[in-house]
Amino acid sequence: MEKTPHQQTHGSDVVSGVMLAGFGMFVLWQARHLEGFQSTSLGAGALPRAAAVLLIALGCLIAFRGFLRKQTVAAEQYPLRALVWLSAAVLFFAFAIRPAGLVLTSFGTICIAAFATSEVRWRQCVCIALVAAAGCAGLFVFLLKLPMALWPKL
Amino acid sequence: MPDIFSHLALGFSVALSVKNLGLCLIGVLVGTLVGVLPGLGPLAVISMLLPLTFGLPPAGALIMLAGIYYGAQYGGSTTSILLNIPGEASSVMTTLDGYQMARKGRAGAALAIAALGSFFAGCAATVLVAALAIPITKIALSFGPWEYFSLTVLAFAFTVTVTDEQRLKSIAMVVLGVLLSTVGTDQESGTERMTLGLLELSDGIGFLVVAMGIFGFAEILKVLSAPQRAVSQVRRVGGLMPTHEEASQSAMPVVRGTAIGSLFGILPGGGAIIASFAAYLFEKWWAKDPSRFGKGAIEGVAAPESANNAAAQTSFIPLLTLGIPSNAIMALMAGAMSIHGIAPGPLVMTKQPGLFWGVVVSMWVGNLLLLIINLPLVGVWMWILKLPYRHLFPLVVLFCCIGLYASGSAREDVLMAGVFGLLGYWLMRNAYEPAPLLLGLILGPIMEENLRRAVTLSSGDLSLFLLRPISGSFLVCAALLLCAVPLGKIRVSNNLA
Repeated sequence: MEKTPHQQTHGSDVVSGVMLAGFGMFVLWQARHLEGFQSTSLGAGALPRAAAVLLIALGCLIAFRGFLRKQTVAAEQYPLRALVWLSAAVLFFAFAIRPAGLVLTSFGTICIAAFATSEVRWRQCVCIALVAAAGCAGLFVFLLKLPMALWPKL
Repeated sequence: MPDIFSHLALGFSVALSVKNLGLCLIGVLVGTLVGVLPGLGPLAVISMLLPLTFGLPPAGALIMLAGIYYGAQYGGSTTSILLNIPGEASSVMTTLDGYQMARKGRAGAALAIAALGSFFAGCAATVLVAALAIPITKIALSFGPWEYFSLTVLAFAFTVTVTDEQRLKSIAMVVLGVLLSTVGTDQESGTERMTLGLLELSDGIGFLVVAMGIFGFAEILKVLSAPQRAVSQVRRVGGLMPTHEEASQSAMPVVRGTAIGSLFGILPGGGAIIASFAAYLFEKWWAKDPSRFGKGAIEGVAAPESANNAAAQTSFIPLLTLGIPSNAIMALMAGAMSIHGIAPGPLVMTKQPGLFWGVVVSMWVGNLLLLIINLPLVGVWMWILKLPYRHLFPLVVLFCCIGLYASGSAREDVLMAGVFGLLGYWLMRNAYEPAPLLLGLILGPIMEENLRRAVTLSSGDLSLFLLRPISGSFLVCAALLLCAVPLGKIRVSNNLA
């Protein structure tokens, strides 16, 4: 028997609702200098403010409803390993692509990302990374002629 | 309607050019692969491949991307039937009876009926798109900014209503998307909005960044954090020919599924997923002996498979005629059109007839290709499925990064996508649907531009939104939808019944 969607909620509605409302308030604060609804036209701040107010209201409603349903905070752990290694892979790509070129960056990104799962195997990972680096070079630079450096500028 | 034939002739000449035919083939093959592989969806792949289409002519790019969408509907059925694993959310209903048929040794027949039903639906949907395009565009040309604003509100209302039981959360996602769309330099006044003083944000938040972040990175996080399902034993495929009885039993369900799918595709907010659910439930309700469903009833395969294919194609109608994307995937298509310098809207048909009719005809061509190549390739798909996810997802990460970097040569785009990946994962953990966020992001500017224009034209008179008949009826429908009993509740309880 499958659980209904709201039973499958892994997090707490109270927390997420409050955070949404908080973001809405942040937006209101950021947009405070913008013009709003004037008699004959809409300034730049009108829609952001309207949306922010709506978001605050919705966030509060969601939080309130979560409070009424007495939802507990997540019992499941966040997948720290995946979060850390995938973030590392993305960061690596972002900072390595320009200095190191496509081939080396591709290789590195795959190797780092592969660690996001505990089932990683060294040799398979390196093989795939090599194939991927070559394949991406072929596809993106040679075939599609995208303007990217292949190798580091030495 | 002699006009239609000359339009279709133009479409054929565009769609059957060697380059576009090749792109169509690539699109449907990639699409089928995407459908077969669980954990990789058309949203993620279309986002990833979008930047790659920069060098392609616009018609070819759209043909390929469209092929991915409806190709994925074909692919999803393969794993549903053979492995009880839905490759796509739109194939979930197919697992119920399809896998049961496979257990009885009738997998081949199920696959064949799914393919044939999908082909029929694809043909019917292509005809529908061609037939409806001109009249809808004519109506759309009479739209003023009030109508466009109200249409976006209606699109949001539909999306929210059919998405999930948690409507409040989906509405919040739409609002958040609209809010994020306002970040950047305001077009009309030139002022910077909520850029936090960062140069990177002054151009706004690109939809590709959000799409790749949420549907690429976050999706990977979601799959990695869920326990791996044990793959059920692959069943013998058996003969591909359905028996005479199976074929005759499937005929009307295919027609009904096509009709339901076409309808749900056109409705703003609809799409292949909800279409397949609705078709299955309708078929079960209509059947003389509903107890057969869930135990290997061929109608349970024929109806949803036809519906999801029909919906995938008819969901192009609002985009190609009105310029309003009706779901997240169409939003990506709208983005693809913009990237190629084509503003989506009713003028596309007259200004770019080759593109318009070429894309419409290519859908029929694509369906034909899928029918021919898919069944023989079942063995290949099964072999690919043995590829462990741990080898696949680093490639996805790399592809997303390269695609993002290629589209702007800015490392900030990659980093922002990473941030949205984390955000998207957090949202999914808390049971928020991310697709409405993308829709809000893309429709936000359309909404705002038309709202401002309407207010200026009417000198601040807001009553026109309700007094103008078309605009008023859109808004009333939207209000009714938001207040009505959510479809999701009915769907969930029916499923468990």
